[in-house]
Amino acid sequence: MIDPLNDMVLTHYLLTGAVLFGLGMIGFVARRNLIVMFLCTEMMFQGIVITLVAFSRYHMNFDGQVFVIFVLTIAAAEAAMALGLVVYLYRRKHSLDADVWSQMNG
Amino acid sequence: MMLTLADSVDLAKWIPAAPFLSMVFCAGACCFKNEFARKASAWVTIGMIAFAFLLTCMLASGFGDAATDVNGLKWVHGAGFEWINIGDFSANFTFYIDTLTIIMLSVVTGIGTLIAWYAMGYMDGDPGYSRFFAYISLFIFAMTCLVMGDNLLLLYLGWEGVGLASYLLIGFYYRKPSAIAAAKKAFIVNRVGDFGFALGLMGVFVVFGTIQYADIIPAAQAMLDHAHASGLPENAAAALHKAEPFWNGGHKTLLLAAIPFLLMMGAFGKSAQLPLHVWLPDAMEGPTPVSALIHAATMVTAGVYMIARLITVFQLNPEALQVIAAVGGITAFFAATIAMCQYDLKRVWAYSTISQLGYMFLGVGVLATGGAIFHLVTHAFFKALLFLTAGSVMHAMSGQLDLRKISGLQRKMPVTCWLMFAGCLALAGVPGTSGWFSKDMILVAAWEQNQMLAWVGIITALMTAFYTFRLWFRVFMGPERYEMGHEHHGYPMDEHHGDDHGHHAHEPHEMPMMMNLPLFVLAIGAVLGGFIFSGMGIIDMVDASTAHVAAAHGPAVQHASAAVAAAAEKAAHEAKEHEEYLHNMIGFGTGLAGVGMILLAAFFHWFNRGAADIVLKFARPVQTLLYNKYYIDELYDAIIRKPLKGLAWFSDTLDAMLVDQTVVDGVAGGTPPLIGRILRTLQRGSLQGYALTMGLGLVVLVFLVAWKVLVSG
Repeated sequence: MIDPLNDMVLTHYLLTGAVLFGLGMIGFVARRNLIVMFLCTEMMFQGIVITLVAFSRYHMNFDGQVFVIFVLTIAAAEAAMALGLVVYLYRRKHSLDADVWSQMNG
Repeated sequence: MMLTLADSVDLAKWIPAAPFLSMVFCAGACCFKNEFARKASAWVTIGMIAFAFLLTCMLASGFGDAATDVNGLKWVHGAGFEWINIGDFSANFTFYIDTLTIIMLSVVTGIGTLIAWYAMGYMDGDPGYSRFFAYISLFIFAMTCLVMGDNLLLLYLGWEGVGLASYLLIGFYYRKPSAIAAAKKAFIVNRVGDFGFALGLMGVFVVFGTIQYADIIPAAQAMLDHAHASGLPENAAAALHKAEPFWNGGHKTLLLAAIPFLLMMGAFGKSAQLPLHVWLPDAMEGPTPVSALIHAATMVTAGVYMIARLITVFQLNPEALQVIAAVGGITAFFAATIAMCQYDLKRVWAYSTISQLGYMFLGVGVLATGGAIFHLVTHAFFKALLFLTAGSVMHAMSGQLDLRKISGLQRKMPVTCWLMFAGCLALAGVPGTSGWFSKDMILVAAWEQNQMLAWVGIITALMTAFYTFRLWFRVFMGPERYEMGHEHHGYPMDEHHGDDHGHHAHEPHEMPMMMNLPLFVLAIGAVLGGFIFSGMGIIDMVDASTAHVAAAHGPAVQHASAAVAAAAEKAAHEAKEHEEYLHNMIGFGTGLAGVGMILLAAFFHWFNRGAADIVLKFARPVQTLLYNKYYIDELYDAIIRKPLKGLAWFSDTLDAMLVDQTVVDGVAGGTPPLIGRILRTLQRGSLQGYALTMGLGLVVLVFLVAWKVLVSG
């Protein structure tokens, strides 16, 4: 028998998720390295995922956990593709700096 | 097999149906280019039109017993099918058959058969042989609908149908730019008239609430009687207007006064009266049998038929009748003067047709419907004959129609020569010929109403005699001298078209007997028609259809005492004697003067052509004016075509400058790029920038939700 989370524990989980998301976002905005930026997006994912799992357990509704499995699956597929793209971009310019692609402005 | 009288009325629906079927057949035959299809289309067309003529004859013989007297009109209702029925409006494909209808049907199908027969030989070797007969069938179908319909809408259908057939046939030689221009001209000029006609038709529906003749004519008759009874016979519409105030449906009386003028516009267009006559001379671009059938004998008389049919409605506004008479007289005169100075054989006959149509309008305008329709019938015979013989000359001379280049063809074409002579006698109004009888009827009626118009008619008759025989003496008499033309049936000579007649470069030759046969029938009608049709009682037949004319204008002797009645009888007797005296004076006077003009024409154009040239030298400005048809085409070009072209140029410039450059290219074409130019500055190309914007957006969103929750809830 699984028990629902109490309010206190839920708050801890949510704070952890928010911190992870915030760190990821700061990293994404602040860093210029494409791979690091990519890793930051993954961190934001994990922050959201933790929130989903926590709420799921809190409400004793496991839809949220099913979502998490989907999100992880998609994140894995996306990671493979995004890293492939990063490699490809690196070959074009021999640099991982995001600013070298800024000529695509209006 | 004996057919009962009722059968002949039942069979009447086959009169338009027969040419319709032959039209379908010939349209199918156009797909096959072999000799059989061509022969078959000609024979089917002739057979179907002849069949329609046979049915008309049966109808004529059965009519007397089948006709019923309804509201003072003696007519038979011919069954057809339901066509349009919406609310109060009903227009069915059914027929109104009275003596006027029968006369018109006899002319259309009888003359139609003869001309189709002639055309079978005349059009031989033409690449569009089946197409030609399909158009002819279409024309006969539309024309029979026009004269048989029992309502104005069916008349309008036929009216536009004959207009379409006319357009198609004028432009029959569609590779010839002048033929195409003439076809378009005919169609567009007729649109002007038909616009008025359509308005008149709608007006009739508004005023009378119906467009059936059987209802309109008695209603108009009742209004006329009412006006006479209230002592205001001069202008029935005005009398009714006084009796009925404007706000109580009185606007209808104003409309009633306008209807004759609107219908008249259509008649002037279709029958080529001033000022809408310009299309008819150009219509001679079509094959000659078409000129004979459509532009002389039948279609152009549709206007006269329409006015005669609705004469009661026209009587409601006597001013309209006066306008018709005046326009008819003036047209007769002007067209005759133009015909005196034309050198193109067919154009002389074209202007002569306009002139003779003018006589018919003069006739209906002075309420001599009998005389007008009589002239319509005799004119159909002699003018068809004149056009067809002109066609024979044109055929023999390879398209040469210039009077100055043809002379003395009598020995080369003796039969054509004397056939045309018969037609010329009738057109010139030589006493005893058909044209003399019918013209006299109109002139006497005109004399009694308006002597000035009668004088115009008499002078025109003299000019007619002169120009008719000017042409005949020029073409057939005098020294034998001619120049061949350069085309064959509207195609240039060098254009090969399958059939080779082998006479192109040869001498003029007589037509084959087979083709001259129908011309003999026409010649008999032209010369003896006056006796034949008078003997058949054509005047009484027309008057039976328009009987109220006499009733409304004769002295009112109803409810009178014996003494008054005797006095009226005496007056009537004197009036009759006076009329006979007029017939003698005008008829023989005009006829003999006409013979004098023929002798004058013989002097100038046969015995002493040099004298004609000397006279011409003195009358050069007049001759130039007449040769150029009073510059009416140029006038229309200046006052209508040029301003329209100017307007078109103005609209074009406006379109290019205001619409295209300012609105389309400027506003519509400039706005999207402008918005794009503003928006695309947001696209910085920096990934972090986008992320930051997204994050800030998220913060704002969270803030708004939190605000909502904390403050409101």
